[in-house]
Amino acid sequence: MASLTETFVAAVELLVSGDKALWTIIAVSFNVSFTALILAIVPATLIGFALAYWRFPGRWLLLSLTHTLMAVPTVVVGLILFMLLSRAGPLGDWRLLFTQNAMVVGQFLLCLPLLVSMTHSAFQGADKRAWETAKMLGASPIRCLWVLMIEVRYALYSSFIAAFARIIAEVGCAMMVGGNILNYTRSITTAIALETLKGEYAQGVALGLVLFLLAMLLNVGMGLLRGKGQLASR
Amino acid sequence: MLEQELKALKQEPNPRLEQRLKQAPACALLTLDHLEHRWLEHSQSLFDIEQMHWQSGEHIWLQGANGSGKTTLMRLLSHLEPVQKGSIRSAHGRICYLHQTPYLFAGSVERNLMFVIRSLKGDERLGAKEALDHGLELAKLTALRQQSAVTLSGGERQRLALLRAWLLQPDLLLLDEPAANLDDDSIELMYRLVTDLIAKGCVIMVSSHQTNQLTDLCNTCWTIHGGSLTRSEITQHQDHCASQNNSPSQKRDTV
Repeated sequence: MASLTETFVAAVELLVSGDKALWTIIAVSFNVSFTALILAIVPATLIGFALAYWRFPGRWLLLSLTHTLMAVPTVVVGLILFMLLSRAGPLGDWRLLFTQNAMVVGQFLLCLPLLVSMTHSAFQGADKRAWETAKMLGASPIRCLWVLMIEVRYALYSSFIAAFARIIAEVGCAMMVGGNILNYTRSITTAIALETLKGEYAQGVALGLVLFLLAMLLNVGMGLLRGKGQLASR
Repeated sequence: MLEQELKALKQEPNPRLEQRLKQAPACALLTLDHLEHRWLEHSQSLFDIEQMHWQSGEHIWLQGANGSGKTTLMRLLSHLEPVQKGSIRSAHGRICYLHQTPYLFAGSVERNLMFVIRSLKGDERLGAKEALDHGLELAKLTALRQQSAVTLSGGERQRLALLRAWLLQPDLLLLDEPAANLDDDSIELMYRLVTDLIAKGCVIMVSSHQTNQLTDLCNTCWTIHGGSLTRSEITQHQDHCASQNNSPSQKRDTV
């Protein structure tokens, strides 16, 4: 086994040299996670808004369920989805198992509760006068919602970043429903797990570096947004 | 007359008379019918209004002690709060409620005003666009047109909020403590905007603890006291309204 320094240097070389296999894995990860996030943003924001602004029967139950789902391990979500999508499962005819679409569905389900919870918190902390003023000035309900979203935009950005961070770094669900197929469903996290088992540490470390840099970037972004959010007042 | 009939109704129930009284007079803009509001399900009610009409041409000065429910009543009339019990029947078009502390949208003064213009359609939009410069002059906000709205002073914020409503041209304008903490010049500018709206057919409701130029415009007093709403006409100066309990100049009805 090579020393840690040698492995690290080899990992950086792999990244810098534009190793095709490595960058394909990174591309798959980003493609799947971005698609899942974009698909989840609209329904999650609407659910979060509804939970924050309307009192309806079952609201408390829905909130509790959302918080519970946030704590469910990714591998459990993967397991349930695997059973649903497998040939013998109720959705087997869709032939989604071991495809990028299955990974998107899995990550959609993983980030939805987190997004709902965080957007709900964001809307709950919003200045209600924003919605009311827009309504009084003749704006349509959609425009009123847009005004409110602008009011809480930094909190919403933070929730999107947090959701993205959760799904890009998950391994359980991607492994189970994606199948870790080279150049197709192999993501950063599943590749790290595989390469480590094979003893190919350089590629694992290189991919780990990408995740580390991404995490740092997202955290810096969230920190900046939090600061801006505090300054915004009307 | 209506109240006499109501008294008679209380003494001797008469379904036909009751039905007739329940129907709002033809000129009522808003009718409050058995309106009750409470913050918690089993708490004491904030107010319980058997019946009250807001007639056309009535400019109302809403009075009441702190916590008596003035803001809540205005919000109910503006449909910003759900009616818990009873009903509010509206026979008129656009209602606009202005918060005591106005909310301004992010961006410039002009952007705030453009928000209203974009909410309007057809001729109304064109009219508002043309009236924009005149409105800015009226509110003395022309020089601040491109300034960020969040940097405005308290008086300028109130004027901008009222100018937005002025562009909207509502049929009913509800002003919640519009003159609180404002200097005389700002109140004067607001008065100019409101009188212009009244001249165009708008009726107003102003809540205020003090008399000012805006309450001078009112010809009717609604007072919330002890959970009930009383109505009195202002026949002379509004000062009489402030001391209405002893004023011989007002006809006072309790609902």
